[in-house]
Amino acid sequence: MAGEPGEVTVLLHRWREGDKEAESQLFQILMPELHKIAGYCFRSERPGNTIQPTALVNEAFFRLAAAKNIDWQDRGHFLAVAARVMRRLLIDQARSRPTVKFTPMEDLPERIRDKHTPLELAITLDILLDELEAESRQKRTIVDLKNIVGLTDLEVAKVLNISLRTVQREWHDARVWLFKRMSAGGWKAASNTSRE
Amino acid sequence: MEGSVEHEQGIAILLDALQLQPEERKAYLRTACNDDQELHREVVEALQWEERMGSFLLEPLIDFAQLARPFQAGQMVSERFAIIREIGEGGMGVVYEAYDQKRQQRIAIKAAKPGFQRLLSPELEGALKVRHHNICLVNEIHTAQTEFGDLDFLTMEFLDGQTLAAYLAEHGKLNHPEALAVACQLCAGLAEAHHSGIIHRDLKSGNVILCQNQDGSRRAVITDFGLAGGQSVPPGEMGGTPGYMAPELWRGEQASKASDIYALGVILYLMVAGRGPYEKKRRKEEPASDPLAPTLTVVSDQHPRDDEVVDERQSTWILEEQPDKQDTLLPPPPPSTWAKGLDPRWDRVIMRCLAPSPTERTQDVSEVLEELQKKTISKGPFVAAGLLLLVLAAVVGLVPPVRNWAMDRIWPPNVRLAVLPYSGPMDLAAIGGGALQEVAERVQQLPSERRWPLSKLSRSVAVIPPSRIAYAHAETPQKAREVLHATHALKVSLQPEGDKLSAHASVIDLNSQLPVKELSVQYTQRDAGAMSAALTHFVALAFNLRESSSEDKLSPAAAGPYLKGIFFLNRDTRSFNDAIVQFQEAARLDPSSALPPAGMALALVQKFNVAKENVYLEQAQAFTRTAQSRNPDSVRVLLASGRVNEANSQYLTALEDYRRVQQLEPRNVEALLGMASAYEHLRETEKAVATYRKAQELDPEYYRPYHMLGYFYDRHGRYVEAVEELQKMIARAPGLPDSYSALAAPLMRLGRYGEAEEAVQKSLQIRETARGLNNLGVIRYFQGRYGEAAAYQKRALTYDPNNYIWLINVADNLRWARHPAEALPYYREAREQAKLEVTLNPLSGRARAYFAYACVPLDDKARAEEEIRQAVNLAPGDNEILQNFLEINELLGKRELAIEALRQLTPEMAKALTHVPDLADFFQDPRVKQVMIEKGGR
Repeated sequence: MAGEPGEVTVLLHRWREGDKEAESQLFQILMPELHKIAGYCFRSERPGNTIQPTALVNEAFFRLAAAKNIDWQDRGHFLAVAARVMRRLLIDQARSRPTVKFTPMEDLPERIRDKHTPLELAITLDILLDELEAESRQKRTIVDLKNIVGLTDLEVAKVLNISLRTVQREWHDARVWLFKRMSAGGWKAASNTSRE
Repeated sequence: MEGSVEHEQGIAILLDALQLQPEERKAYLRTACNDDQELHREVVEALQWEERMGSFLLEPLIDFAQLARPFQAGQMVSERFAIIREIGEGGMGVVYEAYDQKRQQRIAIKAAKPGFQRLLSPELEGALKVRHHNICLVNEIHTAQTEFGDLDFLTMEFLDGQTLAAYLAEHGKLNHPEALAVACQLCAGLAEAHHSGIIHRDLKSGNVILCQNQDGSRRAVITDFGLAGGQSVPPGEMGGTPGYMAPELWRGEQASKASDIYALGVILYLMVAGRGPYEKKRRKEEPASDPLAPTLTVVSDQHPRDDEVVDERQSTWILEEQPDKQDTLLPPPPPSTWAKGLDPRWDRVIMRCLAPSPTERTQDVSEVLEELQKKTISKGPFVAAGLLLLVLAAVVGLVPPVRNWAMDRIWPPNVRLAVLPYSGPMDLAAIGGGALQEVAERVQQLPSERRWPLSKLSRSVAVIPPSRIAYAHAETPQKAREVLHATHALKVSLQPEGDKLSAHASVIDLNSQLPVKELSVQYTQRDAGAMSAALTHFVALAFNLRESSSEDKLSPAAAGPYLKGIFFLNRDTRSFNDAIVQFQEAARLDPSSALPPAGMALALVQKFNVAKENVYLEQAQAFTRTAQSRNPDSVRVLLASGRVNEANSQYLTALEDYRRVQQLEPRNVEALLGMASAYEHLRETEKAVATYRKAQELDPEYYRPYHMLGYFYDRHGRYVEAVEELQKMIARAPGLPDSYSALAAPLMRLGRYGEAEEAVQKSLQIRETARGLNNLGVIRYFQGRYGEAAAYQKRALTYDPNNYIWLINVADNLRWARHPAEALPYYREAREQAKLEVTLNPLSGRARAYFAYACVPLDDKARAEEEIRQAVNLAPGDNEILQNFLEINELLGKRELAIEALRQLTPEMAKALTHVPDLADFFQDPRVKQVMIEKGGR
């Protein structure tokens, strides 16, 4: 006779079905956990130790899996949510250091690069991802898992239980979708609303 | 959507195309698409987008590494300092250019990196007071609150210029007038500091900034006074910089003016000679930081190259040092060796600064300054003071010295390891010889554990490779010691065993001729290549060397199942079969990694703990050996080895494993928990508790340390403390059924039955576990509801049919519920199980005690008496055993002994016994009542 599924498992299942409320509850649970583990990494005594986001989410998963009784099957969704939490975490932390001057970034074309701070870009991306999710949840999840958690294509395929080719196609498509919007005017609107 | 890929093959073609050079892509696409127009169009367009996007989103836009910086560009600190940009980084801190809004001036800020939060030292306070043209003005020390705690930072004068190190990297050396100018300024600054009683402690070319004055002249400024050393330097970090450290510092003495002067000497040497005193060659590829600063891969031998100017007379210094004078440092070649026509004052001045003995060094910086500024030249070049140089003709010129010559001078190695040449079956000579040579090279390159101040535990290792030993005809340990003055030897023997290869390695202490560490591993033909890596790790382990990377490798395909296996291992102690399946799969997918066998070993130990069959422990040992054959110095492997050793009652060896993990990963909580458990078994109660506390401190939100400590207190009868710890555990892991049921036990001992039942019910609600059911049974027993108690405990048994304690519980309850016949088979089974445990674990008093107890209702009274007596002897004072002792003796009619036992029990335990139906009469006895009163009970 199995006991009742844990609170987190229930929330993950609801989130999987699209429950937004479940997402914010999951954030409340996972945010402090990830924050703490990240802090732990920052205080690492091994000089030059680079913090791998993958290691971070895996660590979080193992701890919580035991403490909150999460099943292996739900790891995929756990990672997807954790990726969002981490994205939010990074933005919040970067935000808490207000920008006065920009620092240039390699990835985007000149006209964006010279105008916006990494923080603004990250916030814009965050907003666009929500829009992407409306079109395709799976694409959004793939972006999170690859861009934040740093999983390989194969790992994403395993975790989401889809084929490798699908992952590769959707990753490409999602990047193009986002790239178009970020290099067009789409981000301007975003940056206005995000100015505190 | 434009640019998207609809076709399945499309993406494969696209990805392949991206692997090619840009010019080749178009052609490839054409061929790959055959004649499919639509596909071709789609793929061409997709490729264009890929090329436009570049690395978009392939990295996160904000990354952790950036966030780990104390400050960010653009940040406002303490509402006053605007951070402009990062300009430099040292071991412990980061330097920024900033703008002070209040004073309206440009400044530099030095902030401590996370982990080195506090910069302050008494030296620093002193540095604030020194004002000199050639010392960087430190304005103020501030503390900022950040989310990672308080952070100290300094504001300093902003120095617009480059470090001397950078300058030298670009220009090689300074000409005489330049060098003189800089040198005099340095001396002036340092003299001022010394006269004010401040010691720099970390003087180096990276701490000297060359700024331009308005008139074009150079101003040399010394920075970073008093920032090094003093307070706690983290393990593995140098307190100073190796190439600048005076010999006495290596021996553990405190920094002093004399050591500052030594460092000054090194700087001067660098400036005029273009190289360090013990350096072979400046590496051009190195970033413009101090060439003498990096880890110990600095130098090998000291032969100047043929095209360099060598004063004939000086060639005698390129030699081995006297083996029996290892503590003496040899002075370096004078700077004029490298700079023809160098003004003789430099040699004089510098060599006196670099005198190995602090008392022979120049005592005051102002003397140096004076000497430099003198117009007259004294006679003759500098002559090395008094040390004999011994020519070891046998060695010089025959075999290129492999050893790190200069480092041996600066830090005489306290270990000289002779890697004995291969001797064994000839057909293995190629494998054996090659591996040994490789091991010798790799070990020489490992950085050693450096602790500040130098402690007895740290080692530096000089390696004598097999080739050299062969030349010297010193192939045996004794000869290696006599002829080559080796302190240790590595001996490896190989033996074919069927289609496998057995390797046995040992590190022998040549003083005692005894092995200090041994390793026995087996390889198949296919993975024999792993041997030299494994042996290198083995040596690193034996000498506590810090490896440059002890990361375990695992192929991506195997990572999935491996992680899943870890998940099962961590979830609880009963999912081991699932874990085993996963680790097997991982091993299949990556047959060369140490991780899957390490995981298997852990899973098998869990299985052994539950099933109690020796075969699982043996298997665990075998897997550990496999893991060790690949990497004996890996954290995961050591943890597995520790657990296996614990299961085997080898607690001291387990401790060694865990300690090594601690060295490699000081924050590893698993190692601490393992150590605590080992201490407990070794009866070092204080140490066990302290170690649990340390684990809690390291990671306050992790539930396991509280869990383990709670159980610990429970075992030792400290119930109030146990409840406290377990409640902390629940707070951190509310979804874990074990947390609640664990709480029930001490609560029951304390007589808080209501709370206990609540806890157990909660745990059963979350998940039905054996322990939960059993505990509920015990509560019913306390309530006198023996029938129900038996029912619950029977259900518990379905999870763990071999648990003799539960079997006894069921039997007792059945008996008290007036079903004695039903009880008998349970007693029999209990006796069998306990007996089995006794055979496996002869030192376990508990097993014997229960064995004895089970014997009584089966009429084996003699056996019962014998076993319980032994049990008490094995663990005197153990309350659980005494309880059994009491009950058994009462049942055998030996009340005196029972009363004696009662006296030794804790009040709580005694009170709990009043519930035992068999002891109803016992507790009516006036003598017993007396004892109970004395105990404060009733």
